[in-house]
Amino acid sequence: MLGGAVVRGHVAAIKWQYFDAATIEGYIVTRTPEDRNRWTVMGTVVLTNAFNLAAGTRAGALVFHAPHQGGVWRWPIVRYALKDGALRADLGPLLD
Amino acid sequence: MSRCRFVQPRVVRLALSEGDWIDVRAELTAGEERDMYAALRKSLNGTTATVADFSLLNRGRLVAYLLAWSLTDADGTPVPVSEGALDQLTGHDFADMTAVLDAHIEALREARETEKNSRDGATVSAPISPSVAP
Repeated sequence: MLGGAVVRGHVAAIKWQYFDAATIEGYIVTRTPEDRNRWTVMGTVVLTNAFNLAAGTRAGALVFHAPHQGGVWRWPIVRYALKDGALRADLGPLLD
Repeated sequence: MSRCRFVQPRVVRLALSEGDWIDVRAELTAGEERDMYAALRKSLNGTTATVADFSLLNRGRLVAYLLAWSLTDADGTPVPVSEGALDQLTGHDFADMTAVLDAHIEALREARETEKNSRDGATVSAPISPSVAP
């Protein structure tokens, strides 16, 4: 289980179920001080699949995937903004 | 409402022997299917020409469909799905996995046929002009 309040990494992804919606590089996930179940992420968007991003958004089923040694940390995306190649998203509680 | 022609990301769990399982894509998108067949192509005698190597078809299908499995190593540690791990399976277990996946693909094909036939059967034929008596 994730112990710290900040996760930094090089490569992550936004997925709609198993479909890739976006590839993210150089990200930082931070736990909200007021609520241990809320997190935010910022990173650079290097690739998007517009169809899967839109379909996953409509379905409310986008998930942020951050691979680590021995597995993947996953957070549901509550809301997000992509602007000028930058991602900023509010995340729900860590899954699994 | 018209039929959705886009693949939805649905996962199907297929049972293997001894309580093991694999999670697979319910169906491939056109792009995933194209990538699967493209992966079968290999260089012809070191030239730029390529030829399809159908001996890789079963492996290519598994790579395209497989999302997760319950398999563990000799110490009982879960093994992540990877092409390398697929190649390390025993021939017998690889064949079992292939057979289970093939049955799923065949069931999907039959369901598609049934759906298509029921859809076609529901359409109203255009009126046909009566034949003219000779």
